[in-house]
Amino acid sequence: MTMINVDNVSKNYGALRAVDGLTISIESGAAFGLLGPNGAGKSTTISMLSGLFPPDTGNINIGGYDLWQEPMAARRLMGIVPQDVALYPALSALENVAFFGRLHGLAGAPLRKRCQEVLELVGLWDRAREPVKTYSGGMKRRINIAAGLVHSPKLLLLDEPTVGVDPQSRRAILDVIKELNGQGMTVLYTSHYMEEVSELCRYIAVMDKGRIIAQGTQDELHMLLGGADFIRVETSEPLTDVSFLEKIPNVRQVAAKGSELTLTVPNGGKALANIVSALAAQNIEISGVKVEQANLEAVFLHLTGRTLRD
Amino acid sequence: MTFLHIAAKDLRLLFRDRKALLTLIGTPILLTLVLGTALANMWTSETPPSRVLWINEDSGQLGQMLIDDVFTLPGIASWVVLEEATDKDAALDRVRRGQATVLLTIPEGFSDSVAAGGAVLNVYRDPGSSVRADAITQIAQRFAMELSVRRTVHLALAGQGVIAEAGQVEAALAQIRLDIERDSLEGAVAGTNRTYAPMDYYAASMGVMYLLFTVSHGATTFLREREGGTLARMYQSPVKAVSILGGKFVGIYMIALTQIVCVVVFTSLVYRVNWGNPLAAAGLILSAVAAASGLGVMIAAISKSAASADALGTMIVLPMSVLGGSMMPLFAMPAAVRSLARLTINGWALEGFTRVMFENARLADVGQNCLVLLGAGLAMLLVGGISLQRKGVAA
Ligand SMILES: Nc1ncnc2c1ncn2[C@@H]1O[C@H](COP(=O)(O)OP(=O)(O)OP(=O)(O)O)[C@@H](O)[C@H]1O
Ligand SMILES: [Mg+2]
Repeated sequence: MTMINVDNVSKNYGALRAVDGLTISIESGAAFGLLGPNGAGKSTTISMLSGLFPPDTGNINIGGYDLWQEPMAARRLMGIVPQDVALYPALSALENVAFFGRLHGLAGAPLRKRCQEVLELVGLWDRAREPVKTYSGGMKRRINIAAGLVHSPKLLLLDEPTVGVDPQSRRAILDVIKELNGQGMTVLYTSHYMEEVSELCRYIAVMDKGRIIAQGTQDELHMLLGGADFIRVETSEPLTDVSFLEKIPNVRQVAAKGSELTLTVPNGGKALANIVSALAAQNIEISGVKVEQANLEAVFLHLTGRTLRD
Repeated sequence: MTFLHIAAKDLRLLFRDRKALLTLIGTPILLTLVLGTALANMWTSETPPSRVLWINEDSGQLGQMLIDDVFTLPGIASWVVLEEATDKDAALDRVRRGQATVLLTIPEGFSDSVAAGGAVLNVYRDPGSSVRADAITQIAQRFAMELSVRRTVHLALAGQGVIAEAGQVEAALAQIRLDIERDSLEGAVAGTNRTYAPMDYYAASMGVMYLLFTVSHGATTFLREREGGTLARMYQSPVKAVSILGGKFVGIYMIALTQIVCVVVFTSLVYRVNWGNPLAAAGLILSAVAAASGLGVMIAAISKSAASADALGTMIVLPMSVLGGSMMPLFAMPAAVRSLARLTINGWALEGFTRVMFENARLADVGQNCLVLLGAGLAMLLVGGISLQRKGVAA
């Protein structure tokens, strides 16, 4: 069964086309990653999927319900974890989660039970009665997730839930999402961290400037590169002209950002020697070199000529 | 019933916000004390009995009755010194110099003109002595009004042959009038005399002014929810927009009601402020809170951010409070300003409260004030609510 069906959806902000002809389909129980750099249109997509505003064109169907024909039925299926923590700082974690639970029609003992369950799930039940404003950034993000889960949604939309989070909280968040997905919850996870998306999601769409530029399973996306590797070179001075590197045989692509170069090559080991000597010939000092296996970042670079963090 | 959860949450947030509580409830209570004490002079400079100069040119019984019977009623006699004047110009001069509060002239043929309809009493006032002059004018007006009412009744009776001769009308009037007269005048004057207590007035005026600050605080909570994403969270839940906005409105209403009820309870218990007839006061409170909450919704609808709502709120509340008599009593203001008070929530509410506090008005007497306030609140709620519904979560 299809849980999310997005058909040719576009959204403009004035002259800016934030989402451009988006078409995705997510199976029930899947974990779907939406990967894209800042401004790609991920949050705009999540907002439209959660019914905050309608797309300018196109249709959205959630769990068999048209989002604009049967909004209430569609919303009942969804839990949303917004990009920015959306909680009442003066209320306790428990009060926050309970409030949003009530909006979903929970009350009494079932509400209390669910509040405890989700707060235990994110590991903060023992501090649940403290006001949210006294929590660390990572804890707030975990409560933010709990508030999206309290009504046991079938579909969870997460918008960059780990931004600005310490490694410990990040690990906890990723584990929770994995666990929920393992229990059958459909997950749509947006991020610009390719490691997270590759860890969580089998199916991935890469988004840039409002468009899906590639989608498929991780393996399918890697195939796009034809088994390419990824060489990162750190130079002591920023480079302005990198055209000489593009002339090296087997170098498919060069991206420079400050003093960091990223080169895409079919085989890391073989090309490395040529690259290093070409730099030496230009009297460029190298302060670090790293060879990486093909990954989503390479896919993005391959497709756009930019790194994800550009 | 989801909207009640939203409203309850807003109340809970208010009680967690010590600073807001202190500002919205503590400040008016403090200001009442400060203004009520500091500005008391403005009210009590007339503590020595007011001198009422009178000239009676009427040859009938009715003119003299005003002087002999009405102004000697116990509630009035204590603060009025009557003095017959002989020369009108000299008397007027004394009034102008503040040596007397009013000059009351009863024109020739007053009694006859009562019998014929259209009797006129003239009250010349000391411009600096507003409260007492108001009270005396009111006594004279009530007297004239009672007379004309009774005249109508008696003419009707005479017309039906109950009282045979028209000439007996005046005599009949003089016979039965006074008892009834005494009641209504004593009521009015007792109120006037006991009160215009500055503490009472400022309790009402600061209460209403801070009521408006409270609703603009309510408006900022709405915008803060929009900025902080919790409004979006509500919109993402299976709750209709009208319930969400209704919940926010009820929340603002409850916050505002809490504020003014705290002010009323505190000032009655601690400052011994007399808020008057409970039913009338309650009606005014509920409808003033409705008007204020409607204003809150309007402010939320117009503002783009919480910060601008805060600024806009102050920009609306302060001028409204000045024009509506919250800073300085309306009777001390020029007539032009008094008519502008009709455009303000403070004006309608305060006029009602002062009548309930000082004139023993009942709910029916301030019914118009309540209706105007309710209507204004409803209109602003509708306009603001529709605008907010259109905007959704967008600024
Ligand atoms: N309310 C708005 N008004 C105008 N432009 C907007 C608005 N919201 C987003 N945009 C623009 O739309 C584009 C997509 O923004 P969006 O927030 O969807 O990106 P994103 O992928 O979530 O980025 P990030 O990773 O930074 O969160 C951006 O260029 C952004 O500037
Ligand atoms: Mg975003």
